[in-house]
Order: sequence, then structure tokens, then C-alpha cells
Amino acid sequence: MRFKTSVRNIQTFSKLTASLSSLGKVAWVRLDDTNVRFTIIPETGTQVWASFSILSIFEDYHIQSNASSNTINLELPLAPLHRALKSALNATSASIRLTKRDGIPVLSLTIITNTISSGNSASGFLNLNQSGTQDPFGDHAFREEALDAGRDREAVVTQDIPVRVLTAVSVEGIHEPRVREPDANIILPSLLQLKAISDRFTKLSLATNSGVVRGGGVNTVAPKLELSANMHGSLKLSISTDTLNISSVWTGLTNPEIAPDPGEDGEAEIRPDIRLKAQGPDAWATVRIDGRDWGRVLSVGRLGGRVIACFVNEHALILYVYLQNFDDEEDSVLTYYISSFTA
Amino acid sequence: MTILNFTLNPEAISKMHDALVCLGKFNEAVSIEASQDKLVLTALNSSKSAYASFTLVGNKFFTKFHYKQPLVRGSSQSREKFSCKIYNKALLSVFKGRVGDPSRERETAIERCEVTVQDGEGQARSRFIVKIICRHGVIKTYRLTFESVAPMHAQFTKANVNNHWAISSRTLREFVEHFGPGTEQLDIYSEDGRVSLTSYTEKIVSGNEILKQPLHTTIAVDTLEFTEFSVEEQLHIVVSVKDFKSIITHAGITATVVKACYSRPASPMQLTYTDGGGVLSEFILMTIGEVRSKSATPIPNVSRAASRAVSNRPASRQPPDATSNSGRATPSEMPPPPRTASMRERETGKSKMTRPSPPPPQPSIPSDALFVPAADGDQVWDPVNYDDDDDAMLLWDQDRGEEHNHSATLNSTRTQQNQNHPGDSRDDQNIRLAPTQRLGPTQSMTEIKGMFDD
Repeated sequence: MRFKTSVRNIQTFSKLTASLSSLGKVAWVRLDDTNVRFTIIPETGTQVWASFSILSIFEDYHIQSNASSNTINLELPLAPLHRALKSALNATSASIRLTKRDGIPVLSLTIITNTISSGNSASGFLNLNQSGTQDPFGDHAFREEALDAGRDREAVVTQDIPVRVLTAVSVEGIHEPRVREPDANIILPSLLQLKAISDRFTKLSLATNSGVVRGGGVNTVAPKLELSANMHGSLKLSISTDTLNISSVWTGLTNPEIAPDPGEDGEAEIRPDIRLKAQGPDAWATVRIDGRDWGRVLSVGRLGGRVIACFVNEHALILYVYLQNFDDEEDSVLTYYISSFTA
Repeated sequence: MTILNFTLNPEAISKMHDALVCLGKFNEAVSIEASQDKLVLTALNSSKSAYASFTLVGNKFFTKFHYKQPLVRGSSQSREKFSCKIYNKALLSVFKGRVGDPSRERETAIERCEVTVQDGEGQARSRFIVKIICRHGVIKTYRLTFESVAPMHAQFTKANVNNHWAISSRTLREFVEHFGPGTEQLDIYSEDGRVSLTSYTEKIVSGNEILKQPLHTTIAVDTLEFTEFSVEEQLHIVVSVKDFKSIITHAGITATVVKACYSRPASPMQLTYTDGGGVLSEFILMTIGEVRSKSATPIPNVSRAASRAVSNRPASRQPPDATSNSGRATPSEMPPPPRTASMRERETGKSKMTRPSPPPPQPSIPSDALFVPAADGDQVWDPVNYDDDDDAMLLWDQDRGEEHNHSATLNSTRTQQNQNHPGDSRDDQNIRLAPTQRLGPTQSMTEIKGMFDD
């Protein structure tokens, strides 16, 4: 079993792991010839199935496995991976390979980085000494350097992340959730705005709730945000507690056309989203979601991608997050499955 | 009777703060030793495997420094040194760092700080008195209690040291920042002009626990990265990575050169640097006993064995004046009340009482952007940790809880705030938003516009 690749897009990979690690500690990673897939199934909360074409993150990708269709399945802790990638943010190159250290399988991340202070080691002192002296003619504008100092010095950083190699049998039973056709599809507004307002609503309801139960000291009831969309370009976020009721409405958003699933015979009945659209702008599809969990989901906004939200009324919300700036956009998508709480 | 008084300018105050933060990572108490021309702050960790000391040079670090030799009890001889021990958190709450909102800082900027140490017997009071003189004539006075004990000093003999290197503190800090949390040891090794620094742990784990293993990090660099490098080839020297990190974090604050000296495994390593402003820093770390072979297989118990070896090493000893003035140091004759235990008791008791209104942590994002935080850092995407401020209340005035801080005595609310000092447990995985916005009652029209206009 072999796996070795260069990381082509360290920033994206790092942002991806940051977003995923807010939802779960460990990811199931499935690698094959064409795709790399991260799956997070926490005990409670949102499931993520993130699939990428190899070239959106990696290059010089080599995989060799005895399992059918050349796949490798790994269980990978996300926090160490993210920490390791942090070392690579300013790197000139980074590569990953699957290997063993002291008998334990590890993903070994090799990072080659220029030590930025190789020139600084001396100039740090120069600055210190010169800070007091004025230089009216700017003669010191030319920094004199030793012949040696111009040379790039490299530091090679190796970060070993412990992993478990999973057998194909142990993961074959895990499938992506199946959800009925959505009632409303809408492209979400700026996630930064949405996150800031959602976080504020959640905080407000936590504050008002805890204000009431203070003394009792129990604050286990997580606030439920109500998120609704119609098929006329509006998205509504609201929260209600005993003492307050607030909502924010976005208008002028796009309801994308979702191609009907070719497997179903779509002609037989009218699709639910078309039906909702016919009912006019006052017809909403609504889900109730945990405010904290939603805040963690929205951390995917750091990837800066386009997000389509599919509402299955009173049942589930599915987010499709597309990576920005990739031609093969359709191949690289993070899918979030968020189930709705009952009212 | 006043034994010591000295004055610090704002820059020296923040340097004092930096030193105290560093010392706090070794021991909860700081030993202070004053003599004619210097003040020495030290801390020895509980297993006696790490020792930190900062020498503040009298005529360089301080604006004013005056030490009046106290008389030895019952004789006319004077003592050359005065020493005491103070709870680090108490000092940290007085000597604040550079943190804080600069615009607010300007209003209450600190102009200088005057410290007086009084020691006396019987009715006379033994106190460490700090006066912070701020602008607009605001004076904050803190009276701290101390314990009169002579410090333990670790000594490093340079006689048979054959390995030494020196490197820019910034470069070294850059290396150390690659080390993730959770590892225990740091191995320093060199061969063929390459130096490798490896952060690892020796815990043996199996099954599901494997995934909980910390990152194993190796940094390999050219010896040219060092300003000086003279070390035996293929020698493995192992120290505690946590101690090493604590030191380098402090060293990296100023651009300086860190020098290391050591001989063999199981002998101490010395790290020294100066900041050019009258602070000499010295650290002595115990290195771990056994030489790690090249194909290192985990050796359990090594670290425990090492710390045992350290605890009875001859290097640490009582300074001579502690024995010559033993009468002063014995508890029976110790001046009035202050004991560390009672200090701690008061701390904890108080911090419980003041719990409901902790001062707001420093916002990492300017809170005037009411809804949409400035999108300058990647952290804005991190989930908000609501659990962190479970005491969040709707307050009209977020500063209300701080009012009583201006009272003249040491207040544990401040102490609490300092417990959260970012340097304490900077766990890179837990970068999260500080609760950015307390709820303001209103928002100005401009902010509303700013939000929906784009």
C-alpha cells in the first residue's frame, strides 16, 4: 500500500481541515485514483461528505493499493492535521506520504520552508543599534550583505500525523444519507454576514435564556434557529424565545435550477420545489437547527465558495459548498447534511 | 523599614511582565533577591529539573534603584542581600503587559511605577508596595505580602562544557512554533552540518488511542543557520520541550542571540541571552539521562528516571547567606503573617465571589463592527465558543464589572484576567473567537447602513 503526493494548494487544504475540524475530531478519508473524500459523522450534529478531485488540492499523486479500484481508507485526526498544515503555510513545497514510524502508521508531511530570518539574524541587531541614530543622507538604505546571506537557507520540517488504516470491509457499510427531493433551493448570501448574524442570534437567545434560569444554573437547552427559504429569492433567519422574537430576511437571492435526478421518473409528479414556487412568495420551506452546530457549519465560509442550500421542509437542510476558482467545480463539493429539529 | 526602592518606566514594566509570564511557567512563586546593584528574579520548577532566572541590572534596567542593606538581627552587621518570595499571579496582576486597546490605553497610560519593599519585625509591616502612577494623577497602590525565604539557585559550571551553539532568537522561535501541543521531549542532534530538532513523546499507545498521539515534529536545518555551532557529532541531547518552548517564547520577544552550553546527557544545559536593556536571562535545564540510539525505540520511564536524578543533583544549593542568616529564614522567627498558603486561600476564595462578572476578554476583533466583523483574519470563521462565557449577561455597560478594580488593594478580578493570558496555554488548536461583542443597547445608524449596503 503506497500513497504519496505533493500538496498543490496548501491554503485551501488548510482552510478545508479547519472547517472540517470544527465539526468532528476524526475524519474518514478515502483516497482513490480520481478523488479524495473526507467524511465526518459525529454522534450528534451535522454530517459532512467532502469530495475533491485530486488536482484541486494535490499534484504528483501516486496511490497503490491491493483493495478494489485502488482505494486507501484512513482514519485521520483533524486537529493534528490542521496543526501540521499550519507549518506549511509559508512553505516553498509540501508533500505527504503514508509511512510507518516505530510501527505506527503515520501520514508524514514534509515541508520545505525558507527560513525567513536567515537574513534577519544579523539585521535584527542592526535595527536595534540604528534606531537611535539618524541617517540624514539615506546612506544606510543599501543594506550590505555577506556573500553568503543572499543564499536561501532551507529548513525541512517533518510533521508526522498518526493515522489508522481501515479495511475496505469496515467502511463499505457507510453511505451518504438519502434525502427526498428538496422543497426549496437557494444560493446563500455572504456566509460572513450570515454567520455573524446567526452567532449573534444564538448568543442573544443564550443570554436571555440564561438570564431566566440563572440561579437554577441549567443552561442545556440549545437555542434553535429557524431558517426558511421560498422559491422567490428570499431567505429568513429567525429565533424566538419567551421574551423576544427576531428575524432577518434576505431578498433578491437566486433560486438555482436543480437538474432532476435522472434515476427518478420526474415526469410522473411535479417536483416539490416547482410546487412551492407556484404557491407564491409566502410559501416557505422551514428547518429548525441548533444554533451552535450551525455556527460550526458556517465556518466553511473561509473557503470562499458558492453555497447552495436545499431545504426539505421540517426535515433537513443540505448545503452544497463548491470550491472557488476551479474549473472542475462540479467534482469538488462539500455536502453538509443538517437534520431539522421538530418544533 | 524600607530596604529597597526602585522606579520603572513603562517599557521596563512590560519587560517585567514578560519575565514574570516566563517565570510563571516554571513555578507559581517568584523568588526575588535584591543586592547593591541588581534585582534577581528566579523560579525553580517543582521537580527541580528546570531553573529560570532574570537579572535586572540596577543602573540600566531601572530609572532609579536604591538598596539599603538591612541589619542582621541582633548585630550591627548588615546583610548583603535581601530575598523574598511572592506569588507570581499577584505580581502579574500588577505589572501588566502591553495588551489592551491602545485608544483606551492613552487615557490611563502608565507614566511610571515605584516599588518600595518594607521589612520589619513585630509591629512593623513587611510589604512589597507597588505604586503605579498614571496620567491625570491617578495612582494605583498595591500592597503585596511576601514570604521571607532565601531562594534556591541552580548553578551551572562551565568548566567541562564542550558543546555550545548560538542562534538568533527569532529564528529559533520560528522553529519552535512548528512544534504542536502534547509532546514531551525535544531532541537536539547534529550530523554532517545538519541540525535536527525533534519534538516527540514516548508514551506507548495502541488501538484507538493511536489517533490521540501528538504530532511528531522534526526540523532539519543547516548549521549555518546558527551564528556559532560547536557540538559533538551525533550527540543526542534531550530536554523538556515545554520548558524549551517557554524559554524561546520569551527570548523571541526581542531580537537577540540565544546561547546554549551543555556537555553530556544527564548533565544540565544552560541557555542565556540578554536584551540589551539591562535584563540578563539565564535558564538551566536538566537533560535526559540516556543517549537515544539512532533508530530510537521508545524507552519508557526515561523521563522519570531523569527527574529523579536531577532532584539530587549537586548543582542546586542554598546560597551562602541563607545559611549564615539562618535565623532569618526559619519560620518561627518570620515576620508577621504572610504565608504562601494563606495567600492562595484568599485568592481562591475571592475569585469565586467575583465570578459573575468577569472582565471581558480582549476582543480579537474590533467590536465596533457590530454585525459583520472585519474580515481580516481566518479566525472569524471559527465557531463561537458560547460555553466560554456562560456568565454572559445582557449588560448596559460592559465596564461595570471593572469599577471596583480601582480600589487600592490587590484585587483578584485582575488576577483572574491574567490567568487567561494568551501566553499561558497557547494551544494552537484552540484558536477561537473571543466573545467579540457584548450586546450594546443601541446601534448607530451608520453601522446599520454599513451592514446592509453591500
